[in-house]
Amino acid sequence: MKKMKLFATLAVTAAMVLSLAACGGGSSAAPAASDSGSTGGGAAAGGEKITLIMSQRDEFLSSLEAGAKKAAGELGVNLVTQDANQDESKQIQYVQAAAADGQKAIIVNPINPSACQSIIDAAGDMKVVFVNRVPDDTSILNENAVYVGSDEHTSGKFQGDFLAKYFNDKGQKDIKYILLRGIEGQTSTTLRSESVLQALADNGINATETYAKSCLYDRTEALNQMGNILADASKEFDCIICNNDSMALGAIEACTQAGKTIDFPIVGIDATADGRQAIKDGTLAMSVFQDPNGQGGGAVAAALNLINGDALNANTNFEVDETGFILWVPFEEVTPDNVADYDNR
Amino acid sequence: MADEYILEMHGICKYFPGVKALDGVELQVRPGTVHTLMGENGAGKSTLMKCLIGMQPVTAGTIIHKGKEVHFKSVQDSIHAGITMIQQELSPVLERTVADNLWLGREPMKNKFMCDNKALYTEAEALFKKLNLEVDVYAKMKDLTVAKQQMVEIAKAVSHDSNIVIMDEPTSALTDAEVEDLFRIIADLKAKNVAIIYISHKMDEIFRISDDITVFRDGTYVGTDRAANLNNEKLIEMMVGRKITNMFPKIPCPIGDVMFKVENLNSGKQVKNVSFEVRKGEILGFAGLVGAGRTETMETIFGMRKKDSGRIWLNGKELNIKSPRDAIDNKIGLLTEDRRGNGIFGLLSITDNTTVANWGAYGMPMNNKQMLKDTEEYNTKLRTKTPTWETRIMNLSGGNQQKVLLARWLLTKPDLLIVDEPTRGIDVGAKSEIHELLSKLAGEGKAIIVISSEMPEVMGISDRIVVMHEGEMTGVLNRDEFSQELLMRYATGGSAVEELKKQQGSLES
Amino acid sequence: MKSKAEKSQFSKLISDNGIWVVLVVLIIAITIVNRNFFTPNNAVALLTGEAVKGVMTFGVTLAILSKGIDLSTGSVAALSAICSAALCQASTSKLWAGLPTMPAIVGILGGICIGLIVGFANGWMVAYLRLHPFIATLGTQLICRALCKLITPGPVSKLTPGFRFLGNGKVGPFHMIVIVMIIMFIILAFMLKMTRFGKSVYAVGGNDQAARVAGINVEHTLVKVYMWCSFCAALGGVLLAGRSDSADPANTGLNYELDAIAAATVGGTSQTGGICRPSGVIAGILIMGVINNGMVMMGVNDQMTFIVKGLIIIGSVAFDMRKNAVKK
Repeated sequence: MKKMKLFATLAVTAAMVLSLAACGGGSSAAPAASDSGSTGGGAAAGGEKITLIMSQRDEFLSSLEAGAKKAAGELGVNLVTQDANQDESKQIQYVQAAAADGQKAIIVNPINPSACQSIIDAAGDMKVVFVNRVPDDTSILNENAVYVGSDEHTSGKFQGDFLAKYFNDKGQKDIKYILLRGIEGQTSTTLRSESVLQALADNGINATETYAKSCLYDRTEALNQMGNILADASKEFDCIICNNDSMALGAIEACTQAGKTIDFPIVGIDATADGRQAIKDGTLAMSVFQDPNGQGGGAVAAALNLINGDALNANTNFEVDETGFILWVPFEEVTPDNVADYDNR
Repeated sequence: MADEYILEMHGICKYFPGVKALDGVELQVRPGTVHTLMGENGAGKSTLMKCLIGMQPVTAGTIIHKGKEVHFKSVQDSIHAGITMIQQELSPVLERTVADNLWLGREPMKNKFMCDNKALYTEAEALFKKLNLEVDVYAKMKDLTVAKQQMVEIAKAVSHDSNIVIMDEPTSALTDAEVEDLFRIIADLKAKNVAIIYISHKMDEIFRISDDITVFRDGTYVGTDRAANLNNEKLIEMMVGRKITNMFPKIPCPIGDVMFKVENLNSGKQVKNVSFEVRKGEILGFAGLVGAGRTETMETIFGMRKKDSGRIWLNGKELNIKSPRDAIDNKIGLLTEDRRGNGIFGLLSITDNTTVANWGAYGMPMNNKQMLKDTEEYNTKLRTKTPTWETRIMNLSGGNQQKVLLARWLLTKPDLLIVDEPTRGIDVGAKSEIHELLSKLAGEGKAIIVISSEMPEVMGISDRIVVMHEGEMTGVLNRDEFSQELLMRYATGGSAVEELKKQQGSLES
Repeated sequence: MKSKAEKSQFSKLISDNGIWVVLVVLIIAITIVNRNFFTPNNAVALLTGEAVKGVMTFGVTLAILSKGIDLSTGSVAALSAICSAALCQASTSKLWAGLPTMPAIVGILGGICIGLIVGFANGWMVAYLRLHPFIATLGTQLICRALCKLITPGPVSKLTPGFRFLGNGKVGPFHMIVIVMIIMFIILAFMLKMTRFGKSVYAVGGNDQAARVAGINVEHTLVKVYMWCSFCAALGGVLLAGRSDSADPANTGLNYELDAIAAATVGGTSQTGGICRPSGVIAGILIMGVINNGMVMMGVNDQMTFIVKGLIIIGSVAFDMRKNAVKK
């Protein structure tokens, strides 16, 4: 027992040392960004220091970070990024550190959208910009705390509308579907899944679930699970709905390996480079583009606007919703018709 | 009749997969007596006791304690009924104090939740005082000698108010003076009408303290008799099933040139300036008290312990041994003292245990058939008893384990074989076999070093004896100079004449 | 008396091969619920799906046998997958734009070399710095995962067909990835039964002090154990990349180490060291696969899968402990 305790303690210490080292790496990368920022110089607040706290660094969020850095360069903001690595308490720590540093605004990509009040509390006098993940309770937003991002309700809607049109054109009202879900418990998984089914129903399609399975947003996991599903001939389906492109690509791979012809629509979300290639190849029917540059850049602009007391959407192309505290960066439908437009975005 | 015995065990059987450990064994113990169990290792004494205290379920048979049939499901049950056992292999909580260990699981309580730490120590002190033992109750268990640890175990058993105390080879790690203490405690217990079941291989002490003796052989019951009706030879005959005429069969053989030589060996505080030589065909004994540095000296030679300085030659070639592998490659073998700790691989088969030090010789892929053949050849030669060669070694008795280990070293065909306490915890039959074997090996022209704490053994089989005391050599005796008094004098530091007189006094009394 | 002996022989056979009994019972039970489970198609899906974890299990088995553990295998697989994939990217949008597309063998060996380096580091820390393997490999787990994310933010995909052959190709009707798993199993079994190294691992895991006295170089053995372990993980990474045509820094091999440890444990490899039967390990892998696949077949929800896995892990270890305790 005593030994176990010792190991546990050592494990925690080792994890701390290593994660600290990782943080060191993260923040040391920041001055490079600020250097490029100061060359943009003179504009607006002249080198205002703002911290961007990432929930984690996956492919999409890394693009978002890059978009934010680019915008910071243009707007003359000294942007520092931290990666909370899916650890909520670490996220709060970074917020407190920024407050102690005397920064005027902070951009947070919240890990847990239902716990955003605690971030606002920790920020104290700082302005808070939430990015990418909308707080569950939008009533906590006000002139000091805003949201920049896309409406997850609409991402699934694009998928649902597309599928409804596809089946309505075929004259098929009753369909069976397979749903590959993201990580259970995440808002994006819930909203994307709910909204696609809602859109199908709204368009008069009677959809029944053949099988729904969490594949952790991961390509290999989707490949394995789809392989299992395809091996069971009794599981009939007319389409595969995926919460993101990675899982859609895994599903496509599984079909290829099982020798199943893809004569049914597979739909994804994110329009990643691999996903767009699959649309061009005709294996992925459609995807939904979420604009990482727009979200990252919009967040930096919004933060600066809050500090300067400007309109929330100043220096951006985006619309503010009726409350005035949400800056919508729209989702866009990507199909074979317009996929080429996204190659350089 | 029922009252005559405090404990009766009838027709006890215990089967393990493939092994009949006990087959219809009988035991009847009278209160207030010392009842000794005897038999070769593997005869089933320890197993019988484990069945008695509920550590292992019996396959068949009845146990009657104080006139009532009992079935102990756990050790707790048997302790509750007043039966405690002092295990051969102690398992104290090393990082806690003596008092903590003593009251482990039944600490004196202040109230429902809090231990009474003060009472813990005062009661422990009182207990040791009552037993007339000197033990520091505040000391951590790990800082105590094995003998002292044993004393704590005994005190623990006494403190349970037991009516039966089982002692499994309690004296194997004790010095003579400590053995006297133990016997005094046993006498006290007897006076309180406590029955003692005593397991030991040491003839002299058995006849000193036993009232009754029961003998087992190969898991079967041979007989019970009053100690007064028996003698050494009769007992050995009962145990072995044959007569052993000579306990130390020393085969005279020509002693050749110097084969192995050590000069000014030093390692830490345990080995100081040790120099000696062993000749071809010679058995060199190492005597001394526990902690004299004999084991450490051999470990240093074998590369298990860091050598601070000193030079070693074998067959005229100077060796630079940094690890046991170097030693083995240079034809040195070491049978270690701690059979369980660094001898056997309990989970591995007899075959693997026999061949492990020689695995390099079986090629790649390994020739499993050859391994089996060698195992069979060497173990048959040593008369190892086992159901199959694939049996896990932990299922064998101590004596048979020791034979497998000897087979391991013989298989490496060493020029120098060092054996450290080769007969500890081994029955008489196996003991004399091992003595004979060592003598034969010397006859084949090997050099042998034997460490033993048993004076008759080391005097019986050695050609010369080196005596050590606190890491230093205090004397070297030739065979014609051997005497217990002299060995003891050197073992206690040589110059301590007063000490010697005291020792002699106690020996005579 | 004779019938009793026969009975004990039979019960010994069952208790020694209990894991296979569990496997057969599981297969029968799931087949009763869904006939499609017991089909060649599904066998392929099951085996190809479990092959990577299987190969990684063969690695961690040795670590557990040596009384250690390796928590880094999942991250090592990811690092190997990313580096080898980056060397063999076919598309124009490459991770390392300047790099020409390498022949498949270069990519594969590249990934494996990285595994061997990490394995050496793990082994060295365990053997010479005397770090507890839990700590040493936890450290390399974090480092490798971080390196993956430093190398690339997103998936490395569009790999050459040659590189994908191991993970995705077929020889006749047989899937290459399953063949690789079988070959690795044969190597493992051969190593444990027929080589000095394999036997030394049993010895070191069973009693390292005794192993030292018997002339086994404990340190070298441990270093080799962890190198084998990471080698298997790296090979698993190469297979993963080939199979899914991409290597993702965040998700590839995530938590695979735990699945591998679980499979080895269910297969009767004791955490106390020194006990392992290769046939048990393969049964353990199959059991985990049957649960994954069978729960899909039965249409049971995700969380149930984990509950069943958890119960089987606990049950098998409890059974094992009892078996070994009785023998003592």
